[in-house]
Amino acid sequence: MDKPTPSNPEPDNTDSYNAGSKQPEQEPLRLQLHPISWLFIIFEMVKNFFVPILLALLAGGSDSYEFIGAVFVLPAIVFAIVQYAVYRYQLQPGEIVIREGVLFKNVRHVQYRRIQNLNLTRNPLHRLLGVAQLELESASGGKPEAVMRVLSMAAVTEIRQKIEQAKQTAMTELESGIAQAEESKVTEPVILSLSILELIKAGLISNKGMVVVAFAFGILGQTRTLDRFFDRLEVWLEPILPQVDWGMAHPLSVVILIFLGLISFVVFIRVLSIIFMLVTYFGFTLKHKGQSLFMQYGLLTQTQATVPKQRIQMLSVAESPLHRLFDRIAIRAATAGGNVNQHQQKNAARWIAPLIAKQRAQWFIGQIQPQWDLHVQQWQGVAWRGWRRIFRRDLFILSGAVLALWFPVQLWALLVYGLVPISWLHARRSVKAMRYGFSQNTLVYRSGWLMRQQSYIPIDKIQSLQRKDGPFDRFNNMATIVVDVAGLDLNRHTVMIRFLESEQADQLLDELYQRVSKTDFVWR
Amino acid sequence: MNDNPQTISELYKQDQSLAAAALPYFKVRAAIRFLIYLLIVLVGLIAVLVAKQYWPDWPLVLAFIGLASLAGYFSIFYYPQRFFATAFWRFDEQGLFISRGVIFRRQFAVPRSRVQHIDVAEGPLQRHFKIAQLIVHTAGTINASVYLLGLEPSVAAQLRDDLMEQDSSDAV
Repeated sequence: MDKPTPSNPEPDNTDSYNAGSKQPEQEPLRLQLHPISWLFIIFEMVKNFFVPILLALLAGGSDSYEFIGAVFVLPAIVFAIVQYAVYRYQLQPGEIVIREGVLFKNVRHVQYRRIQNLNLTRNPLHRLLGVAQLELESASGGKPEAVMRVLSMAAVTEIRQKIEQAKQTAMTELESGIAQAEESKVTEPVILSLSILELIKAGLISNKGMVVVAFAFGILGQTRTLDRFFDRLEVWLEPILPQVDWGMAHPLSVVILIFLGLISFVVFIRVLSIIFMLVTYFGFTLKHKGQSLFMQYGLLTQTQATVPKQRIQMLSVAESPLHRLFDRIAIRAATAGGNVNQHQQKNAARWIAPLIAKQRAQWFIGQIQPQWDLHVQQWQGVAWRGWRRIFRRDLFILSGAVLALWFPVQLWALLVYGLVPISWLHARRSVKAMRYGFSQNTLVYRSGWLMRQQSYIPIDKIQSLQRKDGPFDRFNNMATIVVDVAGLDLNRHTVMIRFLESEQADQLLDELYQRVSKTDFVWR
Repeated sequence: MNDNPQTISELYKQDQSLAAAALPYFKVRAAIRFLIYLLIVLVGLIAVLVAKQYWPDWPLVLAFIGLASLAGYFSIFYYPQRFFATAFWRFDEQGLFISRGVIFRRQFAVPRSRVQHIDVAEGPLQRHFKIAQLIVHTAGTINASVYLLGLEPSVAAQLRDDLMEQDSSDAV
């Protein structure tokens, strides 16, 4: 459906060119999706298109459900059934052939050995009906090559076996020696599993609750539920705190109210975060599976994903103050294939260790990427005077805020300058925290003082390099180096090293360029 | 296509400036852009003035003309000149190196083995000035494509062919 190839009136013809060498004497069966598929196709459509429309209608106070039903739901059902009815897949010796589409027929050949990720998703409904959604991803990036919505578990196993067989035969031809050597090193197949206690800790640490709250506020705000909630809250609290004057006349009562509100908000967020982590990562396990990592997690919606180790482009270790409190860290992987494409972001970068004991981090990375050398020979800092640039910029912004606030509140606006010491501290600490270094085959960059982040990029995964400087950089004789790899999540830690001395930046660019040019980039 | 690739990386391993025809192209492009902006500003300004029934004095008009011509000089003559004079590239065994930009200076280093595919693009104006643009795509995220504008078309084709040749050898 994504890439329609209109010129294909007779799908049967396609077999003649599919792999050339295959003899069509006994053609594999053309299989259909699971009969219940239409239901999930509808759900997918509802998720993508109708929820926003429904919300808009609900918020608008309209209750013309018949109208919605007639215009959207009925055609959707018809569409879903047709889509199910025409969808066929065929497990040929070397590849899977998928046929879909009514007007624009599309025949897609995906070679087993090109399939990089095999993602299996099962929400409670899937499990109730004994089916699963299967996504086949190749290295090409962007969307998955095929989304099979939905298959019976038996069919999933069959496809999986085919792919694994194909991979193994390819492997024996190519690099069986390396694979076996690596395999024998691995004694314990399970690398990481998270207990419920760990997940609770993860929830306490994470801020995921904020996301839930923001979303909930968005919806509740639209539907006036929030107003009613606060009204009721007031009624509940009244007997508990009789001293507090709800008329807000007494300044003390306002202070107490704000204080209580903040505390309950923080508690609330944490509880939500814990629930979120429990639901998302319940039963998290990460295992070795040949040349790939196999991960499985989820309470309601279960996810199984296979990530070839070779496709991990960068590993980032994150350590917030709360992580330090529990002596834990989190590790994230950027994998090639799932590109910056917004829909695929969950696959572009994944928490391969949502939470792990700090002292096990090195061991963990060693397990999933044994050939990466993590020992940094010599750390390099950035220009210390860079902190003044951050500080000056903050002062400029604060002054802007003061100026803007001057007209409504006059002298009170100066209170904004109370943030100056914080900015001073932040500027100094964060520049001090920035450092980079090389090991034998890996570039390591660390930054952040409250939220410490450290990213590892093996030299052979680096795609390109950039050196940049703006007027402020040149005035201060500084420059920035950007190291680009595939599959980055730009909202997360990336290797963009600022405040380098100009000559230092030149040197770093030269060194990286030379090192990278000497290596070859291998997808696989 | 197979005219000894060694020579191409030998040929351009020193810093190369852009093709001479790039300078008039940059200037003409800048002039067109400037005129479009000027037109928009003028139309907006006149509309406001007419709506407010306000007719500016001569000094004000002169000041505007002065300002506009200053901006025009800067954007049509000074900036393209500087851009042309400072931009350079080189192509050697390591890969393609590009340096460009006046106010925000950018340098890109794309190693040979990381090039996924290459486009050579020519717009109508670029064709008129016999200027081509080389666009190099990598699997990266931040700089997934890096461009080099202001090459002679033959040079752009040479670079493309040389990069493609080795590109075909390493399968994805």
